[in-house]
Amino acid sequence: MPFFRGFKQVVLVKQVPDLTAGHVPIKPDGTIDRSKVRPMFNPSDLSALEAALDLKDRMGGMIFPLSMGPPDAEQVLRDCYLAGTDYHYLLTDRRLGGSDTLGTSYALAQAVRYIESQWGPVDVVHSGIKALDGETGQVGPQVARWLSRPCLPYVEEVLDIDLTKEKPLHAALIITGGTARVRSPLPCVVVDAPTKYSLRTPYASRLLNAGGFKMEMLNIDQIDCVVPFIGVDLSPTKVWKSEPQTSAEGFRQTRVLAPDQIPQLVDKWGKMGLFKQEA
Amino acid sequence: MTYELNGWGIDDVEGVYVVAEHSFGHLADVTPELVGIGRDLADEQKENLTVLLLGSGIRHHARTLIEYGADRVVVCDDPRLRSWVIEPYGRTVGAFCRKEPPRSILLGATTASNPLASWIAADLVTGLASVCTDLRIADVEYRRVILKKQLLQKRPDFNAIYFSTIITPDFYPQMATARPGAFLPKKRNPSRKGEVIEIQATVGPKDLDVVIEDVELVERHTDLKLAKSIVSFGMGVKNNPRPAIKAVEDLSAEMENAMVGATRLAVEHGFIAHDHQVGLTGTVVRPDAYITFGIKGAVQHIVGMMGAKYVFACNIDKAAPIVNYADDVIVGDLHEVLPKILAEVRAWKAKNGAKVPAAAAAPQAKAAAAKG
Repeated sequence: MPFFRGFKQVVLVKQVPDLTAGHVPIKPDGTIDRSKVRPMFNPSDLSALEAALDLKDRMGGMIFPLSMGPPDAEQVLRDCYLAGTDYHYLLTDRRLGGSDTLGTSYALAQAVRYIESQWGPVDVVHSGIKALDGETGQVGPQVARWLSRPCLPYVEEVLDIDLTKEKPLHAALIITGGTARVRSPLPCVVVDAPTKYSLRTPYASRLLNAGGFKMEMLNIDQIDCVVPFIGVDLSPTKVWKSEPQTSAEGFRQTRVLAPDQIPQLVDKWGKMGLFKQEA
Repeated sequence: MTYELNGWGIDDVEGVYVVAEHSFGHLADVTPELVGIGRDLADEQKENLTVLLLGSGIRHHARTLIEYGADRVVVCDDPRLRSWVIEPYGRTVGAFCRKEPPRSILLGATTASNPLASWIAADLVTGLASVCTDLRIADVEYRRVILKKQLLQKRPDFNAIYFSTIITPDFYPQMATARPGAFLPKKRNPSRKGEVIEIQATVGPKDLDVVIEDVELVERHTDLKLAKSIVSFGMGVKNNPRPAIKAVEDLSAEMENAMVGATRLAVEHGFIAHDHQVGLTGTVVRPDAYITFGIKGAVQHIVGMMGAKYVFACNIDKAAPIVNYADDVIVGDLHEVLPKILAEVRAWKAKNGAKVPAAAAAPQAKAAAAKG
């Protein structure tokens, strides 16, 4: 494979079960019954993908989407291709199944190193803010730690990128109570916040030329990732118990009212003292 | 190899650590909450609670942290830690943990602390449970083995439809981030005694590469935490947003000390300013009443409002997650229901005037006095 001299980016994307519909089928062991839910592109990764495409518009170069998951996660990589990405990697290996974020982030970092062995150093690794099915938001910063690269959390916008500078990347970050403008060297890991970037429309030319999709499958032997904290048995965190929300904080005995019961509802609010007392 | 297992077992670790968070010179609200739950966890094991306080010009917070319940505050006050940058902060925490390995480490599930917690977990090669709403220590049975002194880390999963309890049996430290507002701070005790020690920052050669040039405080005109009631809307308004949002504002205006809230998506669509956003990336609230229209209830929103005393939801979908977190629900189109409610509220007030039952008026007066 050719060593590529231009600007290079990796985007981490994930296929997740569609939990937006409301009903989630849970198996007795507390895991999602994936046979009963449609897969979807993890929503916050769409922002990461668009952020990468936006940088490619400015810098040219290549984007390498990288996903870890079962073989049918190829679909999210195909979705990336339609939006304009270049060469795709699917890390799929049974031994990775059930990994928590520590193992997942390590495997992804090793896959980035593999991609670099093929194409040369990657300038920016993009990650979404979190996965819909895990909600942990840990992967980006952990990949940065494994790769020993600076991590820019919650990037709202890349303001400027100028490779002639010592610190080429100028970006706005969301911080507690405000925003911060930072300068960072390359390579770095960026966690894209879902504020500015919503994904562009797929290119018609690519829809018509689906054969242009290029993908390589990876397993953990190829990326040197046989480590004692991957997979369901070796992951540090275990789900000890999973219970429906009936026993959870905030769960309530819901009373469903008919629209003609609005007077009773409002009377209840009034008696709770919710209304403003007129002077 | 780019990792090194720390190899710590249950006999190598001791005590609970909390990493303090601060911004613009103030301790974050979540920090006293973490000290509160950290105090409970340490007491259960008869161990010490240590707070790690890193930054520049932050030494004076150490006293406050002791008054909230810390036995020891480890201060690293260094100009190189002026900005909250992951690498120097994480490296310093990691270095101290290697010197004195803790049983568990707690951080806030916030914009600043969540990435830091993740980085530290990878640095120490251990597990991390995010956005916990309940933390306890107990002996548990897992796969027919009794595990001693496990940190039980409860968190919402799968759109808050399930709650999972996570354990970290074979790796130390056991790390968790806590949802802001999930735990209550202890009452400050000005005569409480504690130890303050100072440490040096540990900074790697490239750890200061990311330079924060300037920070801009986004003015908050609305502090939802002060509201007695919040009338909130979500993307349900999208078919006819203007009159619907106007009606939400009108309803809020009819209510005592009420403010308007919104979901992240509604804010992103430009319907309202960010300081009105309720949820993990906005404000975590615990009002007396949380009245919602057209909010489905994404987990980030649910965890931001589930502490409310009373919740009402109007949603077109009976299966929306918010329904399970509401006391009263009307299934219907908010564009029809909301004007009816507004008219009814006005009619109720016209009929009942300033009459408010004594039982309800009393806490109201107390709240007003506390604010004044």
